[in-house]
Amino acid sequence: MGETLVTAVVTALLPALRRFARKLTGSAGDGDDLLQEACERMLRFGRKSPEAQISRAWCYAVVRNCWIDMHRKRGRERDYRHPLADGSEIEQLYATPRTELQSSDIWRHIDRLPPLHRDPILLCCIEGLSTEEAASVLDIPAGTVRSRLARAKLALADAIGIEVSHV
Amino acid sequence: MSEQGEPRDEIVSLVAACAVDHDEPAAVRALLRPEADLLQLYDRFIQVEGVMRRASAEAPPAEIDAALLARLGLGRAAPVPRARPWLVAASLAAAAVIALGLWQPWARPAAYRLAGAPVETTLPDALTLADGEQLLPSAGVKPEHLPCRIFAATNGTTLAISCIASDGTRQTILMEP
Repeated sequence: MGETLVTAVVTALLPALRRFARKLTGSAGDGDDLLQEACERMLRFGRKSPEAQISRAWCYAVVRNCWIDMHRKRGRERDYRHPLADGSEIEQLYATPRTELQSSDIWRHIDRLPPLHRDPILLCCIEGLSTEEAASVLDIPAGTVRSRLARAKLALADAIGIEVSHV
Repeated sequence: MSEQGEPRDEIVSLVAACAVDHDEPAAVRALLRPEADLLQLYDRFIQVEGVMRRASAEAPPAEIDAALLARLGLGRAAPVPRARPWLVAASLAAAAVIALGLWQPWARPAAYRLAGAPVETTLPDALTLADGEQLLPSAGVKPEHLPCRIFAATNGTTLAISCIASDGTRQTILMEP
């Protein structure tokens, strides 16, 4: 029954988890590799602890932890703390008028954020998790999630060139 | 800036998300108009909310095909005896119920959901500030569709907006003269 429950929960969340994995890694291929690793881990847990109740936040946490572990295994832990995108292609974005921003431009701006700020954006703004759920995924207090979220949004506003003027 | 950041930014961010959730950014904006700094911050957050919603809408959950299911170890459906088709139906029904349970609370027209607000999170009938000044609900201004309440001092000099934010917490913006 336990495995059935875990399997059913994971299957129900699969489309969202796949999006999350792909956004987390920055590519479809790496994202699917990550999802596979995470699914194996979740199903293994289901077999080991058939009575355990799992939540949506737990599934996202497994995906994210797998991603960090994959970096560690490759001796690239430092990379995880760096933005997905940087360098010249981002510089070009500053020259793009905001009204002409494409969805891909927005995502490149999001990818430029350090994971510290990018993860709360992905979890709360894209995946629709509450701050409490995101706090559980990221293993930090909910207040810290709120703080990072606000700072990430202001960083995005700066990057995208959102300016407001009141006459 | 500390890890906790600037509390005002957090509050305005939450209130802006709440206003967009309820499709009433203009109503909150009208309330903040007397405070130029707050208004500017609020407008920035409102614009970011728009950008985030666009990013979210244009990146829907990824489709899952049979090949991926098989790769993930979910595709090889457990062999079910043909004599027991009810078991298949029951399994599918269970998965559907779980899926509904997982997604129903987050069904959202926008990217943010109004998080399950703790039962005790309600808007107060009066606000008492740290210096003891008491603010009462303002009769004049009342956002129709927002979980917000406007408070004013009896002499009208101090104004505050208290809202149940997107994450279920109560946030108050104080606008002092």
